[in-house]
Amino acid sequence: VSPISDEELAAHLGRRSADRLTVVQRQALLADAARVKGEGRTWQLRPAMLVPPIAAALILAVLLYPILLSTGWPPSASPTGLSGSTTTSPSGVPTSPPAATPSAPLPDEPTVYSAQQLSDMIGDPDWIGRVVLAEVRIGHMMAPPINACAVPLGPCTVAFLADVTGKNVVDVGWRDAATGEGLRVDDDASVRWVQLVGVHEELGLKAFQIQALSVLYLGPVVAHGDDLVWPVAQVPVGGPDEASDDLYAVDGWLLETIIAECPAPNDYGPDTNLDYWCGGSFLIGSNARAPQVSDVFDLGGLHVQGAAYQDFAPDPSLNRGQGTEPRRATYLVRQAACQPVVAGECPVWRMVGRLD
Amino acid sequence: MDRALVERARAGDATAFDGLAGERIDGMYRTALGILGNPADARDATQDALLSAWRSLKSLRDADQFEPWLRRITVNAARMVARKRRVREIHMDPDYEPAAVAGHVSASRFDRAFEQLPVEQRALLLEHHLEGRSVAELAVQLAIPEGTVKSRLHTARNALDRALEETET
Repeated sequence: VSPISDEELAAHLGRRSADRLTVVQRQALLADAARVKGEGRTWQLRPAMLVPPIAAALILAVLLYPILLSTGWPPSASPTGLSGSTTTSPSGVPTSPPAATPSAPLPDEPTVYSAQQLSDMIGDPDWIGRVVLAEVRIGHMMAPPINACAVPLGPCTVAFLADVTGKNVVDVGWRDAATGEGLRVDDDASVRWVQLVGVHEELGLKAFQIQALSVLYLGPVVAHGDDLVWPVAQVPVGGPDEASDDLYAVDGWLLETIIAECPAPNDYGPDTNLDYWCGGSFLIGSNARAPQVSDVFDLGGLHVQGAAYQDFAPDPSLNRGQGTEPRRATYLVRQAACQPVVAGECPVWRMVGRLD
Repeated sequence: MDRALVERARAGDATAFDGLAGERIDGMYRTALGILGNPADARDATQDALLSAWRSLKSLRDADQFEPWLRRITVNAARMVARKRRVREIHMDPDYEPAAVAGHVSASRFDRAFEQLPVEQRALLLEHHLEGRSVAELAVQLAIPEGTVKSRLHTARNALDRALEETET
């Protein structure tokens, strides 16, 4: 006969396990675990890490400059500032091309980060808001959490970064779709056809925007042969009604055209999207001519959404009617089919960020 | 169980893991305390189990098996703490007093007997008699046949009976 019944055994086991963690003990345990987890993080590139080598280089340059001057270098002084900046004629129309001259700064080849480096950027104040390229694999959640997609046009938390230790939540953004395809979004200010960017799971070059708790997946990036960056004139252009997930990193000059009187579009209404109507923002190549009044319908290059210049150009200038100063950089764009109202040729393009 | 959360944690998402741990830490502590009988040791075991789970989560092949996998890790962590406790002076929380249980066996006698059992037997008795897990559930959790679970439960119960008899005096 057992000296203890099942009921008494259970009572003793319950007594032994009766103690509960206090709130403080609970938090301490979780905090200790979080601390140890953080110790395992791999090396990451932070801007602060670049300060010592840059400082050393500057000091070296200051020390060497008098010596170089004494040898007659440089042979001739270059004009300061962007020589590609436009000048303005008395009529207010830009007259000089925003073309690159030999002294115009060439954008650096964008850095491609690893999955772990991308993960480590999440929540880092130095990186939040920036758009970066990374070579990563993405896992697609089988069952997205309820309310994973914020509407309208909010990001969807439906994927995760593979092969990383640490933060890995991937929000997936929206892209333009051809008219009649995808979702018609009417936010009382404009109307657009959109669909979610496809989750491209395989290892490949992809673009992301860094956020506080996640990265926003912008899409796959198409390389230009062995290079990453495309000149404006060589960016592949699909059919006028085609929209795509594919992103291109394009070296070009971004500007806003002059502001001119335009007739209202035929189907103008309170919810008409005027992103591509009557001028706006264009990404043009170094050989493009100066914008003219007639260019409000098509300047050439890549016609991007109207707000692109103010959103993405470095140090954008104000448009007081005569257009803005062109800004050269490497911008990320994708083909956006024909939006409901477009002045000029289709397809138009959607700019999603700038690569620094 | 949130399978997606487990998948995210397995892929290295510390936030997802914190979410999983926060929901289960009380159960882990309760299991460790039942095995070890000492709150301080149970906290050590819970902490070790959390870290062990984080480090080895990638080895979890099936997210649906997260719960039993975590219980096994907790039992293992308790075993390691129990092993360390054998080679150092036993310390008790000065404020911790075992409560009395109505019955034939006093609390101190039960504890002395129970702690003579191997950790695996303590864990099995806890899971079955306190947590109420059936033989079938334990068979899935331990990945052994139900007959083996029954046999192990029988062996554990006999071992406890013998230990109680030895501690009667």
